[in-house]
Amino acid sequence: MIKILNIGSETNQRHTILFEGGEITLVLKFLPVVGIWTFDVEWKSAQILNIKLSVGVQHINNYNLPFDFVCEDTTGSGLDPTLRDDFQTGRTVLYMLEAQDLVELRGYEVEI
Amino acid sequence: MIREYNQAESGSKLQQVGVGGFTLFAKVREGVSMPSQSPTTYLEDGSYVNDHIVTEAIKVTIEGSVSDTYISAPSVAPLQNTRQDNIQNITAFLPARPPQQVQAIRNIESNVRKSYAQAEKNINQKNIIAQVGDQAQSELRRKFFDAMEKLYQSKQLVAIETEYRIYENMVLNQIDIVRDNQNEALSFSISASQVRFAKTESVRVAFNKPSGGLKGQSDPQIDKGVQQGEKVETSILAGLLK
Repeated sequence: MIKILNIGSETNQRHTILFEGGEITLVLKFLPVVGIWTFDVEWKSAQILNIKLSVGVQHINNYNLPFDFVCEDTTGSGLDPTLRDDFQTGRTVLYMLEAQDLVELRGYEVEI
Repeated sequence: MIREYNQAESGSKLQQVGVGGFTLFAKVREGVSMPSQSPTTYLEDGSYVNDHIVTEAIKVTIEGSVSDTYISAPSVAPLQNTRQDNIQNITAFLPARPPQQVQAIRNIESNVRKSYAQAEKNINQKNIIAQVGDQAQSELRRKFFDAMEKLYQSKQLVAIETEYRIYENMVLNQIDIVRDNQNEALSFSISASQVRFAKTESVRVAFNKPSGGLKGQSDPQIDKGVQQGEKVETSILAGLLK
């Protein structure tokens, strides 16, 4: 499992994460009007758009990809990331689950 | 006048398409229907009326006949009035026929009468000429029937030519073919409607001056670079998930 670094307070930011010899393109968007964070992810031919970030859940489990994203609330309040600087201040942290983590969670091999 | 008629005969107004490529028929009647739905309820004052009007698929009906021979009807160009000083010029006088010419004409008349009698005799027999002639003459009608049947079974979209337009992507909703023994022709009636396709296009919208209420939601994308992330112990994974 890895922690996604360098998440700032920009409302539209693109992160490129090296994974299994390829690249995962993660686009984080903050919607100030409704106070939510969403993300788009692209990897190989898979493209998943507009997933809302919530604390404590696997966001793209049903897409059967060899990775997933989990958000943690470091204050223990259980609140989803709702402010622009939640990630910048560290109030919430975004992690990416790797293939080995998913094997432990799902109980079967993950296709990369 | 004859020269202009012949010149017009060689021209054509529209590309020959017919019905699905079959052009060897005489079109007796054609109709084009362009329906649209309009709102029956009250519209708000100031609203765009065009947004509430829905155009429906264009419908075409064609009635025609298919017979043994097909002649393309020429389009007659408007005749030009030319100013002529002379109405008529007498250039030669027909001479009187010599006796040899008169005899030759009478021989031709006799041959024509003999051929006519022979042909009538054969026609009265009915067997040979009726069979051979009917097979040859029905070739075009059979081709038409086969073509229409093929279009019906293949369910493919075809192009249909009308007097002023060629309509693409037409599906044949109804094909009625009637055979008439007295006229030795096939009468048909075809109803078709147009299939319309929608294409999704995406365009980039330029936000020159976004509203302040968006609070930066429409800001351009910032590239945060490439990373491998920070390795975290998987023991905390259980605590992350609900």
